[in-house]
Amino acid sequence: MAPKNKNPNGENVVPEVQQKKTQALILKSSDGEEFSISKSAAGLSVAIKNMMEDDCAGGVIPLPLVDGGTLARVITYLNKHAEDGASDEDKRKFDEEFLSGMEVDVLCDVALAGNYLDIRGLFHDVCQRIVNGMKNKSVEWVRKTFRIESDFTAEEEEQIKKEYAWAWEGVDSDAD
Amino acid sequence: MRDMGNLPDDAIAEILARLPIKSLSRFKCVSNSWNHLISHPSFLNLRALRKRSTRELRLIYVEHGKNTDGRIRITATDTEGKLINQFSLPGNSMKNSVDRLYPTRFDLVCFHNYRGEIWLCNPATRQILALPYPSQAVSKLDRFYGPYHNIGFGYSSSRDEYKSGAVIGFQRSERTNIWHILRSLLGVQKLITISALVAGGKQVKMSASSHGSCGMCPGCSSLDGIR
Repeated sequence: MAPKNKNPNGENVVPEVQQKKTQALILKSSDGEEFSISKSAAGLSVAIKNMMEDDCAGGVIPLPLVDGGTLARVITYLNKHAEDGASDEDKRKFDEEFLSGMEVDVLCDVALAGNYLDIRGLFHDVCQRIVNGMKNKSVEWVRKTFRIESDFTAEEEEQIKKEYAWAWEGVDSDAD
Repeated sequence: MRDMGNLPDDAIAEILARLPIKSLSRFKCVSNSWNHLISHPSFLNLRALRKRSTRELRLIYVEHGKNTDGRIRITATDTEGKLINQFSLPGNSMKNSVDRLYPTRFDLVCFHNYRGEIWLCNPATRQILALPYPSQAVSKLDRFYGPYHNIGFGYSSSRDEYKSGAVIGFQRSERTNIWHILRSLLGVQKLITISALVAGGKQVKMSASSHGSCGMCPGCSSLDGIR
């Protein structure tokens, strides 16, 4: 990224705090959508923060691993967590509602983005949400939901089932 | 990027590390790569790290007798008595007797019977591991009476090892000049350490060593042999 926005001396007069708030950054998703976000919100992502410090400031930051829909969600999250007046309780409530409506597919996308952008709080919460959804599910449910092909032979699979037979007790039905 | 298959391995590991051991044991079946991931020592370390913050206090007890069909039954509850896990060991696994139980604040339970046979059990995975008998110097007869004064069990976080130690007393007979195992606390005390590295219920390494050998009794030479 060319450092075209390197501040001329005159701009440095603006107090730093105010500058941080007012300055915006453009994040570009894998499918070309552009989102504007304040620097203070973007800074909650360790990865973006590092990119800003590496003098990408003011430019457009491309995020080739995050699609537009996911990026919009992540930005909603970041904005809430960067909000001045939001108490911890507010944020906790927001997180709860923010994640509760998401299907597993979406959760995985957000997890991927949270991991890639290094937003620890978001990543942790999403992981926990995915885990809660899958812990009582069958092996077949997990394969189907996460689109994982089994590469076991029937014998190998049988062997594991035999060894851990007790782990198959009390599994939810796949119906839901 | 629509599914978990596209998540990098370390992110998948982060998710799986938050699952209970029962789900993990089942999900070994999902695919080869999941099986490898779940069985890998670094995953077990990550899991221990994630789990530590949420670890709950548990009570574990062992029963055997008529009401358990003569089999050994291990029960884990939380401090309010809510059942966490209960299962019976295979019938002949301990000759149906438990003398003493050494629960720890860690994941494993250590117990031994009157024959002096020591077992480690991981209630979460239901795996059971017989520790090597500490010394050939402890004869069959001694085994029958139980040679230990005491057994200790603990975990060394710096070495990631669970250790079980047994204290055995030896006494030299004036008449025959032969060392015998003592059943009182008098005489020479020997500490035999049996260590087993058990990560996530998997035995990785096992060794036995002796400390404070007197070098005089017939036991010491054979004890040193186990080192």
